[in-house]
Amino acid sequence: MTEVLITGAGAVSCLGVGVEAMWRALCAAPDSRPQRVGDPGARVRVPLFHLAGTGPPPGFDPDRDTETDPDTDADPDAHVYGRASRLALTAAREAVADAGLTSEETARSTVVVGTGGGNTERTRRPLDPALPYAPSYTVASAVATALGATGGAASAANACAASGYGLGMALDMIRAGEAEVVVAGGAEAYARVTLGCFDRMGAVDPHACRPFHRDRQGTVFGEGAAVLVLESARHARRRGVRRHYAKLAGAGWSCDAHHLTAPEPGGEEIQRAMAEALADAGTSAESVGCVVPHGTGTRLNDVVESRVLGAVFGERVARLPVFSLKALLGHTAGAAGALGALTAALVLDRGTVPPNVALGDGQDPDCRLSLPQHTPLRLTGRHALVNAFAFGGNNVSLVLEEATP
Amino acid sequence: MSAAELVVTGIGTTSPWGRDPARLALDAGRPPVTGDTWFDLAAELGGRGYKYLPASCRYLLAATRRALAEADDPLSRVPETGRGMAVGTNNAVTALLDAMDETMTTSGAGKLSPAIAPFFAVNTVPSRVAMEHGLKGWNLTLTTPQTAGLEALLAGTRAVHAGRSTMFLAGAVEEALPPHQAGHDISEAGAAVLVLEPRAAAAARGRTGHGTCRVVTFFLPHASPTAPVASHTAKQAVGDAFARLLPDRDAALPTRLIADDSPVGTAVAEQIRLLGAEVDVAPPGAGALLPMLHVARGLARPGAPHLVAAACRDGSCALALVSPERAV
Repeated sequence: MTEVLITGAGAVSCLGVGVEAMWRALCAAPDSRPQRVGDPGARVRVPLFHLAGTGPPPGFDPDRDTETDPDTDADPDAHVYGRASRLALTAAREAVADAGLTSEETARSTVVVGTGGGNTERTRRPLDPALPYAPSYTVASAVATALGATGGAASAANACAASGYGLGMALDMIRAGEAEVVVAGGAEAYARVTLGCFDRMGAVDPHACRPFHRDRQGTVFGEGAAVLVLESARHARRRGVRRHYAKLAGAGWSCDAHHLTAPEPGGEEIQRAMAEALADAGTSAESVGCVVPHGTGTRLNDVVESRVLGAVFGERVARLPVFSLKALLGHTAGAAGALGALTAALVLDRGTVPPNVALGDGQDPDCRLSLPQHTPLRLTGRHALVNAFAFGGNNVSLVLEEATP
Repeated sequence: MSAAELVVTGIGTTSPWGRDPARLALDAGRPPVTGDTWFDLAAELGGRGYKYLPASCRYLLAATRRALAEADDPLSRVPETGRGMAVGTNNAVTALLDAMDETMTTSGAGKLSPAIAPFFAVNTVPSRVAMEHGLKGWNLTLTTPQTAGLEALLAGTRAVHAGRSTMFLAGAVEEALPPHQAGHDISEAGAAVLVLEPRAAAAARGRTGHGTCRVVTFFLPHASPTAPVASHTAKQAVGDAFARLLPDRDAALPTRLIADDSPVGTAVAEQIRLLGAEVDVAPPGAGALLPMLHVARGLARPGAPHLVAAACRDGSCALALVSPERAV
């Protein structure tokens, strides 16, 4: 089967702009607090969000780091309509430059972007009567336009699993020979209605996003984007690529077909997604050295995912490092799968599992996972598992494999 | 013709253009899409349980029922984990989001309906269909402007060939835009659903199907919606797409192109004509449904192989080769 390499990466989130800024923040594991949104139309009980690029990220060092606000005039994409598009472009430009693609190679590439809501400004009051008709979902086309990519620009919108599905689609495209390079990822920006609906459902934690914490009260959303350059090994060899972060080795898809918002309590279909991703990667649970879970901080989801991880990994789950990304970034919805995949790629690339945000003795006893804190761990195992689940019971799991020289 | 080739065994449509796929009035101008005068909820879905759903969800449920009935219950032989669904939409919940935004900014989130709130996520529309029919294989929602319906055919076919399910439903669904939003006057509404299964599986239950549909996509980048598309870029992209779709045959198939007079639409029409095909251009609506309705009609009645193409002003383009089983 065609090997699919991750040869470039880009990211933006509340942790800052750029992959290295993100990795440093992950390793620093700061106490991450969301901000109050400055939107007077957001009449909600808990107006919290992790906003990207609106302040120094945790661990920011002005002597070392550069920071770009995707909405300022200095931003080269400021003319592009929609904040989700601009976040995606920030990540995509970094990823393409990181991969070292020439303009000709980029022109032949395909773009896939997962986003739950896209550019939600289009349906947010005050409406701009001067805007011509366009749907909210122009993020992938904005990226393809900016890159000059002609292979296609697909938008996947499976809510919080959108970019997980997008990466799975990209994997299948390359394996099927439809594309040799796919610029794939996810982007999500502040969305008033999303915040309002979660607030109405009582699913926003007034303190922070605290996955697997016994006192968690819901999630807290975050803005962000992550983009990976996925490339067939043959194409990478042909253009002389010397290093890659990891391989995207497998994907598993499933659907609960159970409830619009709640996971099926037995977790049967999310277990199948994980099992199929491992089988698709040609590996077993024994080879997995790290899990980046979906882990949103909502009560039932975290318990069900924990139990299923126990079923997949058996007694090893007690010592298998789980890295709870959303405790730092918040829940980046349609971008979450891509940011999770990027984190897994970095874990494999650096051979290190960053420490989790400290839970202290607050870990939920019903979430029997290993969440190492305080210091980074040396990675053991050649694979990492990433989960992304969504409303509608749309589940996707991805398996990444360490790079080969 | 291989046994693994996916064949369309069921077609379901419900739309202002009609409900009988073979008789969709797609050449008679734009019918009124608002008011649901064309959609009879009780007749389509009957019973209870559909009150707290967006209109788009009702349309998709109805089209799915029609497609499955017309395919003569194909799900009975397929385990739930073998059933996938890919749906394309641009505006299935736009009106709902607009109403929610109004509620939030005037009365606050506390006044949002908890029953409707989950539908802020557009993928809950096809997911509700998955719940009704036990579609556990996978459920994919695509939202690429204008081409998402055709893309659902491509993505679903790819997923089946990758082993992610043994069959799938491909659909498109839209709901009218609110009157105060741009695009309301070209709103689309309704749904189209196709049942696709391997030819061998269809034959095993005595079905030959309506035919096949293969899709390729491409993108035409340009500086702005009004900026011209470089002719060499359009020539290369359209030529490559035809080569992928029709590797062994003449490209000069009659083509129905759904596109406006934007630089992208104009460039695609010109390049297809240069390849020798006769191109009939139809105006697009605000959504991804019209191209799928054309595919549905093309498969539902006897005819020769032909192309259905969609070109969105933002650059997204798709070509579908529609090969009806019954020749004229």
